[in-house]
Amino acid sequence: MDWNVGLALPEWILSAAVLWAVWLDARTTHDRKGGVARTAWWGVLLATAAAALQGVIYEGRLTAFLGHYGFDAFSVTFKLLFGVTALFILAMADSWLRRVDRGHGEFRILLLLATLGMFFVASVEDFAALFVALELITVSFYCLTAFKRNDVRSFEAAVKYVVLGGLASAFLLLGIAFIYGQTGSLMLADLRTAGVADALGHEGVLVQFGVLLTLVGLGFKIAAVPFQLWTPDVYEGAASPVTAFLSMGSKAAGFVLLLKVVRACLGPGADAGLATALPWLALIALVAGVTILYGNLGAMWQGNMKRLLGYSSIGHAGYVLMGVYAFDAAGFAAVVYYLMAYLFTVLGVFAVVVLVNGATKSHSIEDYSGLGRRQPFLALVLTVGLLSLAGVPPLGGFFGKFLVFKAVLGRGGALAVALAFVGAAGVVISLYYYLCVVKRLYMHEPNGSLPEGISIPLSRPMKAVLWACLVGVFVLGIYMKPFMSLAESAASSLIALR
Amino acid sequence: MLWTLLVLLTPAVACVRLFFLPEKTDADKGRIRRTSIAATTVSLFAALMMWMGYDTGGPRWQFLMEMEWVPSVGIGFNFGADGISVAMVVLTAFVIWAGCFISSSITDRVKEHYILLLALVTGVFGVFLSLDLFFFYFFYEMAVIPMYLLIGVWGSRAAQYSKEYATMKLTLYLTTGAVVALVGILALYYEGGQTFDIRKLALADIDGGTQKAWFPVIFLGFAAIVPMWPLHSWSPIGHAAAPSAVSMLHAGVLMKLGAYAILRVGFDILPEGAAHWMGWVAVLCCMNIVYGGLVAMAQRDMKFIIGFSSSSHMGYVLLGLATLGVVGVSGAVFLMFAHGIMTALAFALIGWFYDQTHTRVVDDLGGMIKQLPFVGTCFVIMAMASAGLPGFANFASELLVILGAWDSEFALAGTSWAIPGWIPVTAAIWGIVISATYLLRAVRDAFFGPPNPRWAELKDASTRRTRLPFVTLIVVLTFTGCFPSTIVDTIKSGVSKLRPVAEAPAEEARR
Repeated sequence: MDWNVGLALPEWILSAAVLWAVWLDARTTHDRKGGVARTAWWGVLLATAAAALQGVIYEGRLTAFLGHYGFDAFSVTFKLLFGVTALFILAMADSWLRRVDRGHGEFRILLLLATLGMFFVASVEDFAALFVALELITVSFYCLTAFKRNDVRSFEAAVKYVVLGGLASAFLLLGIAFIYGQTGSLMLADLRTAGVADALGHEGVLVQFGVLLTLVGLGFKIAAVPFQLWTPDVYEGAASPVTAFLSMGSKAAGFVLLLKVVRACLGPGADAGLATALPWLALIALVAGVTILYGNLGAMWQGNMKRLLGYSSIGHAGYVLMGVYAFDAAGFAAVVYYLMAYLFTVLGVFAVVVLVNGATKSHSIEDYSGLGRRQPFLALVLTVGLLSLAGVPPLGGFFGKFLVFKAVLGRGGALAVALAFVGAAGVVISLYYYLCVVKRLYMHEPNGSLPEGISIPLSRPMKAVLWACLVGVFVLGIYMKPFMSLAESAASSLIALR
Repeated sequence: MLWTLLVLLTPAVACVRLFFLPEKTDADKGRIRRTSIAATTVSLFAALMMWMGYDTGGPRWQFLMEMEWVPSVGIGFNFGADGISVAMVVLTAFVIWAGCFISSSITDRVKEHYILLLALVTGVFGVFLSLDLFFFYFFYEMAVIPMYLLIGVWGSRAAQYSKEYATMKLTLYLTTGAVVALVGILALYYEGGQTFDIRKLALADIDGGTQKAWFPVIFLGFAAIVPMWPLHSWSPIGHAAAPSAVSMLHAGVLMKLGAYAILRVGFDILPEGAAHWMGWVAVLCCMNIVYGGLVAMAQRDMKFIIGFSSSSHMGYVLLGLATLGVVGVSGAVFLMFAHGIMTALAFALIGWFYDQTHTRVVDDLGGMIKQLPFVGTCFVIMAMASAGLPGFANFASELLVILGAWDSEFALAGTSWAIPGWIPVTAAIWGIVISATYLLRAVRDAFFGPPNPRWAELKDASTRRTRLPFVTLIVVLTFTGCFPSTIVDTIKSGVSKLRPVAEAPAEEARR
């Protein structure tokens, strides 16, 4: 237990990048803000590289800042995930900002801040830091959502997000207060040694209640039913790169914390048998099932691409929760793998959405008609992404779903089997509405929203993102071994915590 | 091992190769076609080598190719073939090879068409060769999804249904079946000691009660694609809406995936479950045979006739499976082969005149034999084969099924009843009469009778290249029909080692 300040190198790099970007932004008056853009790129790139390097150099588990900051395979895996996400989002932001005439600097600084929050989230070891890191992400997203300040939709989305997000934060804080009041400590490690699962008696109840409230707060972040109401509106109203970041980065951060809190409740050694004693575990199964059905059924009726993706992201939260419900190494590994595949899948889809929206100024699914003829490559990336979201082999989304189903059935019992069948129903429903979009791309004639003779320009970073997503989705779906071992080492380092 | 790899990877590699080929001029399109035909020819050659190289007295699994894939989850890249797989691989190779020739009539988005066709067939080969349940499902689902785009983009209207409706219905039915089966597969994974290896699972001796509980899940999941009554309604519409090559693959091969999956997963891993439940299948398959046939009689659209007749014929396959005996099950697998070739031929021929007439309704056709002597003759041959004329593989295989069923008794699980073998056999014999009726009527109305002046300009298949696929399929059909032992021996060596068949009391003892 010492300060060990150097361990937080990725976060230091990001913080320095934020400060330097603010300084540059204040000094330059012209609109392009090339310096800020370069700072953001280099900051995220170096932070990700530093995280990767740490993952190679260090072994096992290390702590810093007197134990409030942890480092292990789990945190490294997610930092890489967040770093790659942020890089992709920066490329999309470059493309999107060309159509906006102000605030180029702020936009990138806010993206950096949110990324910093996500990096911290992967390493937090106590509830206070957890709350701060989460708020860093959330507050950045409030501003990002409201970024198109002349757009009523964007404004509405931001208000909804702030009000509901504030409520969720209040729940989270209340939950933390209950836990603190009972265990006398904010450290996750102390919660683990207190062994909540053992202490189901009179004193344990308050801790259990606190954990439950914490889960409510996190349920909002991951958009699980019944805390999902903001999702479609915010997804629709926010700028597309922000939506993409929300759907991947923010959601994954929520799951990281969820896993950490849930793991802390298991006590040292993580005896899977104890998991059954947790009263709210069946609740997670219930929430997962309802979330899957709500998200997928809701998406069936959407005519707006971003709303559709909003509902579908609710459904995906349900699938990841299935992995959490499994509550063992296999389940946690499934969660990590699912999120890895989801990264390439959903960001590929959003990259196409950003580009198409730039040309058609519309998010209506009808305006994707005939994209297969007009822009074959974009249509291909979108199709592959949507099919991967639906869980079709040989794409990454399939293997993620497969692992989740496997983990749930491994738990055994009627509830698990029922949940698996609900998940199966969700797969079919989701295939229906994703195919409805694919149908538009290939089976409908162009409807004129994309003027004849105009092809969508692809910048080099965007091209790289599209190819990376396309190749990534296939690689994660065919050659799973290296990614699987990464996911497994992350999961086992989480399980092995004491 | 070399042959397994060649069969499996050639279409996949060709897929990737096509992706990077340009498609601007007609020369480019020709190049794309030639590449696909070359790839399927290699696959066909490798499949024939497997057929000839298969040792009927040898070990159960031959041409093995094994590699670790994700060891921590118990997934292995294990491929190999027994007699059943070999027959199915040969069937698939012939159908896709002919299908690539037939697809020459497609001129719009040629590249995408061939990429999807080859992706589909990679999936089909993968299912037939895979010895690992993970890859089994992986390829199974991979074979279903390209169908959506193939029918949706290049298909045609099917009677009152749009092609979009038809293809969505097909995809959703098959995917529903697949995910239900997936839940079953994962349950088997845990019951059988956390491995996806089919060979290990078959030896795992899963508890009898568990087998009886999970067999219906696996069976119903895969029965949707067979298609078993009452889950068949996607199938005729799908056939009718699909372009020729896709109908060929769909009816010729894709439907066989279901029956094959029931054999491979249902029978081998859950022998007690199969023995418990298959009596009911004997009842349901009679509905397939008779109901499918009667509905086919009422159809006027040529593809709907063949579509319903397919679901009728797949009833025979299910009947053969339900016998759980060497004769019946071998007959069923042989019928899968024969019906696959026959129905592929049928859709290729229908496609030939539909491309010119743009109608398949038999009332609009008539007297086409004058303009289409070659295609007409092939069509008559196909109808005869389908109606069960001796000399064709269909006759030999249906006979085996009926012989197998005659000897069996089908106990209905959950009741004290048992159906004697002669009841489904009677239905099956009537089914043959029904299919002869609608096929001969279709031949009469479309190719004979008063010629319709609208079709005076029809072009026959006159070049060697256009005749090749038709002739090849007919040759396969008659060769295996006249010398059934060439393929039945192969099939039998696989079937006799299936667990419920091998463990069933010997035929003599039951009498």
